[in-house]
Amino acid sequence: MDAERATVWGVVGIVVVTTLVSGPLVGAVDLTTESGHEGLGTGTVTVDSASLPDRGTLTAGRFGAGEYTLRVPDTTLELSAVEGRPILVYRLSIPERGYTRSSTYFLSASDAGPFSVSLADDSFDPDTVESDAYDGRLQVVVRANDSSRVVAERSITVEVVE
Amino acid sequence: MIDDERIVRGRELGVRLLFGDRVGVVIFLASLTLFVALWRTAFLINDSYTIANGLYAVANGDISMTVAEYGALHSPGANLYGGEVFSRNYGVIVLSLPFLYALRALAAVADLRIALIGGWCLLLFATLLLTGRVLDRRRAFTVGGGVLVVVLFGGNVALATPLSQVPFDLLALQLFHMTVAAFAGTLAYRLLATTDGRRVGVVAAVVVVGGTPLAFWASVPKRHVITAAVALAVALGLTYSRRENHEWAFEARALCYVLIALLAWIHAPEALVLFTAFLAVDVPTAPSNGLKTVGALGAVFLVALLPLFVTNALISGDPLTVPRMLRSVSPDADISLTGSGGGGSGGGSGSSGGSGGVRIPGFLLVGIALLQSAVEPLQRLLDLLLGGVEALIAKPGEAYRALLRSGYVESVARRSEDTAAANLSLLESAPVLAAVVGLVPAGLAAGRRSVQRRALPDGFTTGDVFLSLFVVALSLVYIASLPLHAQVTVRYLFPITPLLVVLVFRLAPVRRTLATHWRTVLWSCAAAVLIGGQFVLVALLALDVGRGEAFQLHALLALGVATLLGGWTLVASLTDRLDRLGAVCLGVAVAATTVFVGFAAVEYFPLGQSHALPMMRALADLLPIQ
Repeated sequence: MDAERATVWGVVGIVVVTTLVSGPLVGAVDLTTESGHEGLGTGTVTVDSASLPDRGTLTAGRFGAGEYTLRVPDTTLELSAVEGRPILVYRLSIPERGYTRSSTYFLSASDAGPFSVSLADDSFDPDTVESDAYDGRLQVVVRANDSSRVVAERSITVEVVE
Repeated sequence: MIDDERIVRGRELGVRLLFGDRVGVVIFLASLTLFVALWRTAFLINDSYTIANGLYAVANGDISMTVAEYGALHSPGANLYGGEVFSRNYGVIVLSLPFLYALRALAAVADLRIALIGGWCLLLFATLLLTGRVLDRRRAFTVGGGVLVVVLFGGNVALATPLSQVPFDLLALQLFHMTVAAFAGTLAYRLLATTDGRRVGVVAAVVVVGGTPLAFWASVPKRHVITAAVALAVALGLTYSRRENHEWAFEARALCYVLIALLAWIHAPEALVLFTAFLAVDVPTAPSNGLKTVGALGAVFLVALLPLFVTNALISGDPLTVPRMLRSVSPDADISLTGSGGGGSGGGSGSSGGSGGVRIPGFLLVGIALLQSAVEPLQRLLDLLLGGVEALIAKPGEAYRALLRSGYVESVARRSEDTAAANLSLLESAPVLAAVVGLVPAGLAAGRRSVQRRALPDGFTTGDVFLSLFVVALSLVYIASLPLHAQVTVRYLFPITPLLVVLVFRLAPVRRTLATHWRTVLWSCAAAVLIGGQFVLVALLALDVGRGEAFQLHALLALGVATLLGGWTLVASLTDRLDRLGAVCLGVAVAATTVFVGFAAVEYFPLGQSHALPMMRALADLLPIQ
């Protein structure tokens, strides 16, 4: 019985004391860490190679979902000489549809080497899908020190799959 | 020593009033643990900005909204009156204030992220300790639970990141809604435990918490879970008050009136629907409708309505005009009691009565205003109910889309900002409801017998009659505006789901099956969640589904189980040979919803990875579903 009681109070004690010790009143430790935002958007990076895909798909919805899903295969870039915290943007645009979509990555020195980038799936109303294929453009853009430059670029064909 | 006894007795009475017994407490704590685990500390629906800004205003001593602390002031559901913008659902705003003060106090002494983790761990620990006592396995649950809780606490703290710009008002509202929602399971347990024993009660609680989208809506500051909990509480109160020689019979009846009055403060139209159904049952079946009883009940009701009157008076100067009767800033499909145009500045403004040249005494004016304000909403309610019937007859296809099979609905797609197919039908989001369709013959047979005997069917209580009426009324009120965007699981009709679960549990074949095979239900449910859930994950990954497709995959799985369950219930009134199969179907149907709600909370609606528990955020990051 006493061992049980000790266990209960021990567990409650650990939780409560940890919570209080990390609070602003005591402030002994900071348990909530966050990767710093300092210096975001400054620095340099070299993109050694980028094999961007040349084909994406716009697939009709299965299971009665109706809408079309846009998918672009993930790809891997080869990064080197990462200094500071430059921003890398992976962007798809389909001018015919007035459509752009991008993923943004905040780089740091540990990202040197193979670096995987992806675009999240997106859905389209079935009424708006009229062609068999759309021409798009994939770009990898590095933003740093208040300037942005396109470091890789490729045309992509988005095929409509019924 | 006497004081000690008094405290013990007070605690026992409190537990009995709120939870029934220790099992009720376990269900409450377990529900809350689940809700907090799935909690995301961000906005899901635009309407919630209105309420969070309202809470911000009220906490700063102002009933009208002047500062857009969250989103924009002119968000859906905000009301204009006299050039000022008002929030709505003031009941939840005021009742969330204690949670807001508690959170602010907590933030003064602790890092709120760590405090949330700590709070969840203590909730889990309390659940496990009490479960150990109920099951008479104290030692195992204390030691095992202690180790588990310490590990979970350490793991979550290791993964913790700061809460960015703590939305105190939203957190307070979410905590209030989760607390109310946690009563739903307990109330379902109590409703069934009193007639069918505690085991069946526990199964009912599991079905209500896991087999309906309760856990999804619990942390969303919308009225739906509150309406459901109040309806269940009123049903319980009715049942208690009709027991012969029950020591708290009158108090139980009065409590129903208090709850309905408080619901009116939160959402007057739904409270009116509930009140109408309640009166239709309460008055004819009451043991006494003497002047003294009715007078006392009326007084209690009026006192409980005071907060609503005061709020109304503060806003419009007229205690009888609820905020929803005022002009909406942006029209939405929500029900209103002043005509669909929403142009009227509210019924029952008594001042116009005196302009006819004839002087009418003041007290008569007040009486006329009261009458007008009562008649007008009732008329509108009648219109809504008839409109519902008309819509069912004129557009059965729409009802089919909202209730049975969603798929891609064009009318929804036109208005939805997001994936249109991410709105499931009622049956797809809670396949246990299939039992309702299958049990129509059993219900009819029981009904026929009870008409012959002029008594309620076996095991059917006064509270159940009220629940049935309310289910029909609420469905009719909303059916004309469905299917609709931003519903996810037909949230307007969510309150009827737990109520239907309770009603299904009343019918003979289900009662028979649960009495013998309750273990099978629980085991098949657990197995289907743990193993079936992984199969669903594999399917989602292997098929590389888009968002709408993922929802519709869940929908098809749910419909498959629903078909089996519905089929069994049709047969079950003829033979009891398939009872074990029926129990498995019921368990798997519950699991289908649990798995969907889990994926929805963790993956489909991560709301900017804002999970309250870092381990859930880590899980969301780990699973490569888009």
